[in-house]
Amino acid sequence: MLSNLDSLMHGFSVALTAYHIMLIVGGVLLGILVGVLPGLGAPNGVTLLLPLTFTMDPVSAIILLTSLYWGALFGGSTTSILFNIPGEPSSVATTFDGYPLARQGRATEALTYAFLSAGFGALVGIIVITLLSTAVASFALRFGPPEYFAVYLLAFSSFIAFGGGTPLKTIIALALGFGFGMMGTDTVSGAMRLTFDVPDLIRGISFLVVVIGLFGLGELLLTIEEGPEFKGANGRIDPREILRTAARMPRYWAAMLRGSAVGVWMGITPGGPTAASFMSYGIARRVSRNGANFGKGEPEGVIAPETADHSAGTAAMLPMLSLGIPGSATSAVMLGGLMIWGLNPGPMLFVEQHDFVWGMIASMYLGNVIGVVLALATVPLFAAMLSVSFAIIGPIIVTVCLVGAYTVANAGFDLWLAVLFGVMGYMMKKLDYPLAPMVLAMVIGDKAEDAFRQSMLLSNGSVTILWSNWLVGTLTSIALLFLLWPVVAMLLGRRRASRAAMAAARQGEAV
Amino acid sequence: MKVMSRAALAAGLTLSASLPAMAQATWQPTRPVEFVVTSGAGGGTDVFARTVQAAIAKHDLLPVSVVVTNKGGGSGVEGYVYGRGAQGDPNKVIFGTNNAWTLPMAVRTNWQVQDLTPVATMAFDEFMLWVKQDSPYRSAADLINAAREKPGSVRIGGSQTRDTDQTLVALIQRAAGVRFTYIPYRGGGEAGVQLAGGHIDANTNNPSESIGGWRGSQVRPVCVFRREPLPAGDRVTETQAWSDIPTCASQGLPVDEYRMPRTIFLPPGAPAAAQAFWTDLFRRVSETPEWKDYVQRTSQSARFLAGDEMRAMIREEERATREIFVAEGWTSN
Amino acid sequence: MLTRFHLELIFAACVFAIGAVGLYGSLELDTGWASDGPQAGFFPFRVALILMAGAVLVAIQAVRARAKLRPIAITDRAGMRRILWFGLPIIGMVALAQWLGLYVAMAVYLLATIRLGGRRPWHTSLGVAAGVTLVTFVVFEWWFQVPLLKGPLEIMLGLA
Repeated sequence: MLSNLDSLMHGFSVALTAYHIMLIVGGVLLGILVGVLPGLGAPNGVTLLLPLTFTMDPVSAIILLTSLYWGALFGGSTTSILFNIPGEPSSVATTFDGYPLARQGRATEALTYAFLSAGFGALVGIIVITLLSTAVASFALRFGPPEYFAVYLLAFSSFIAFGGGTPLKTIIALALGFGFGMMGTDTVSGAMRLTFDVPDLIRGISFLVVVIGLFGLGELLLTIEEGPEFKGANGRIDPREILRTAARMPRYWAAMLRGSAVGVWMGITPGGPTAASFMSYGIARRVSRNGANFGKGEPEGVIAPETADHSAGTAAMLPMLSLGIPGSATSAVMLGGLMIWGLNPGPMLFVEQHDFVWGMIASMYLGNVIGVVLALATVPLFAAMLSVSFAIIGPIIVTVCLVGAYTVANAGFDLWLAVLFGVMGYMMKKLDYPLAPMVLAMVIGDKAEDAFRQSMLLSNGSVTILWSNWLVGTLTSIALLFLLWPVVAMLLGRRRASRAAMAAARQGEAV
Repeated sequence: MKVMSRAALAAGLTLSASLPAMAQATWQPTRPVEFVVTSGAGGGTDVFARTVQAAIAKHDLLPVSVVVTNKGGGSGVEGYVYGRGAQGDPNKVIFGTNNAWTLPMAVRTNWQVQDLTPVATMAFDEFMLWVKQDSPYRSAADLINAAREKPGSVRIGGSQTRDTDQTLVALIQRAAGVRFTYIPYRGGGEAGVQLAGGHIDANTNNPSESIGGWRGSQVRPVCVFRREPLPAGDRVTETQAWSDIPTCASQGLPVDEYRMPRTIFLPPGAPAAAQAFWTDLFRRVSETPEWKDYVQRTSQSARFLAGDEMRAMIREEERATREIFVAEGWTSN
Repeated sequence: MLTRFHLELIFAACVFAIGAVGLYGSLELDTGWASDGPQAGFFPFRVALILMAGAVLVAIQAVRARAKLRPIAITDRAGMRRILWFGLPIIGMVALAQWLGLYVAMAVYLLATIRLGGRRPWHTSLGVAAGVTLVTFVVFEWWFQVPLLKGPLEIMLGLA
């Protein structure tokens, strides 16, 4: 561990040059831009810059690309909060409370909470990487298909178990999500599933298109129905509000620590940032004293997913470099870049490319601090957008949504899908079907199914493989406990099942 | 379908508009060209296409800009269907592998490799048999004997289903008369990590997919599916170079050669002049230092094929693969 | 007028239809659990059944509670009109985009909605429509080289 600190100091000596700081600032700014626009994401930004990096030193190249990634993670939260359109998949959970806050005229506050907690989460993630780099990599190797499945199941059950909505409608929403997620090629059998010989369905239905429809367009329909203007949104910008919000941050220390822990866990294991943010939100809703207020504009509902999202994003850099596992589309492109720069991801990277690895880790500290500052600086700018009349901003949001839907796969067909899901989102909201379980089922459904079926291939169809060692056994058991607790509580005849469930969740936390 | 036919129509319009200006023998792109990649971002084909793009940009080989789009849905089917829809459009260049002819065997598609206009094959990626560093299997024969003693007990991982890796595993099974359990993962990188973690017993990764793991003493190559060992080069680990790895045939695994071509096509019905232009362009790309560097670093075998040579290669590979697909009952048509 | 009762039934019918289509699709695959675990159609088949059963249950619940659900309007007449005025142009834009490309569709849509729907003066409507389209073009096509759907106009101008 101490030697890691030495290495970090060395890393700072590499990263702290005027040229590198310029790259960080440029990367973060560009990242915020692509993150804010739903049609563009970190993968686009990284792909754009990749050719530029071919002539660079690998350290400078990775500093530029990772800075862009941090910027995009920050920017992704902005449109989630202001317009209910997640700029990045991992900021879907931020919409649940961020958007209601903005509707109450507390946009500045919500954005500030989001950026500060994101920065906090990122720092925790980097500190873990710094101190535990070697241990973490070998831990990640323990994850085979059954462990993957257990991690997904745990993320799933901690979000779902005690959620709102009637059970029947929650089940329908889940089934819809699973069903849409299954379309396209089946990894395990190689067969086309539910594509009905329609060429546009071969690639499956993209989660992003669904989210743009359900949340973006669906929400616009709800807004316009209620009246022609954004209610309560006020464009008055008060920079002091940012400082006041920052001063209130420490009182949410528990939510931040919990979110970071969930995020680091999901970043190191193969869960990924998107599942991490959902899991963190679900746990926070259950554990928090303000649990009942979640979904109606509760700051903790912004802080929990944001810290988890960013700590997962940063922690996932480690398995990426030391094992070559791309945790996201962005890191897949970065891995491609690594090869082009002449580096091979693997354990030897840490031994042979000392400057590269530690220069990058050091730049992550700088990049995220600079990211928070720059993101906060954009708050007044974005908050001002809310003061534009809905008659003008509404149609612009529509075009942004549709451009975003198109760019996912360059397919005109997806525009129709987005509209269809927009109508569906409107109806589901009106009828109190919960949207979040549907989105979560889409995100992890097909991955979980693949992992499950790979496990069954390994075990010749026996589910006991899910308890075949202590790691997978513990994960599976906790996940099932979370999932089944309401049923158990009911069977035991407890009258206040929900309160018992909350207590159980707290115990589950402690385990 | 509507979108595609419209795109084809639009392409046809420009084509006819620019026809008079275009002499029969020479053709040159006049508007931005699109490189259609039949894999997701970061996949092998993606790195291939982006390396070509970078070399073109560096040496100013094209008068117009190049946009790379990833259409990797359905293991690449999406990209070919898109190319098929752009009938006759010489501005869309499709980058792939042997999936151009294996996919139509495995799933129902609306194209056959004969429909596409072949442009060039730029390299062949090699396959190796890998085991975990501390694995008891020292040679290919050990692995086969273990599988023979307990059929199905040896687990081999690979990228995707009914794709190159599983085809190779099927070849090994048939050649050696044994049975393995094949576990499909999303990509070669994942199969490599799963091997390093001991969740599978072997995999058939390309050299570039597992070089990091080899240098880090997590996995080691047992043999290479090639008629002779790889050409001599720098040492990869402290003691060994790629050329030190014996051929599989010499280890009692009678699969002489297995490799994956890196192919480039134009949509069906592209004009011959355009085909000639692109073939010539990629030949020039294959002579750039950037390309040579890429081939060397990823331990592929550079070999430029075009025209009839490429057609013959495709015919031969397609015949061999179809044999396996039919025998395994994987064909869908 | 559209009541909550009707919408419950309409949506349940949609869910049932989605389930039925899924069931049809999954029956083309192996829906069993073989010696190597669940096959490709195993989960789709079951999810489809759950959807169909769930839809029926929701419909039954709605019919039983119809006395309570009937008086609840989904939206009033004015709200409905606003939704149609907002939603139909979106569908128009998507249809237009398939034919003329996203940029032309975007410009036409913005101009029409801001001028006619929003009743803003011509110069504002034109400015926003042209400005947003232009910025989108520069950001996507030039900076990030992400091509958007183009139509005959862009081809004529030599931009595609």
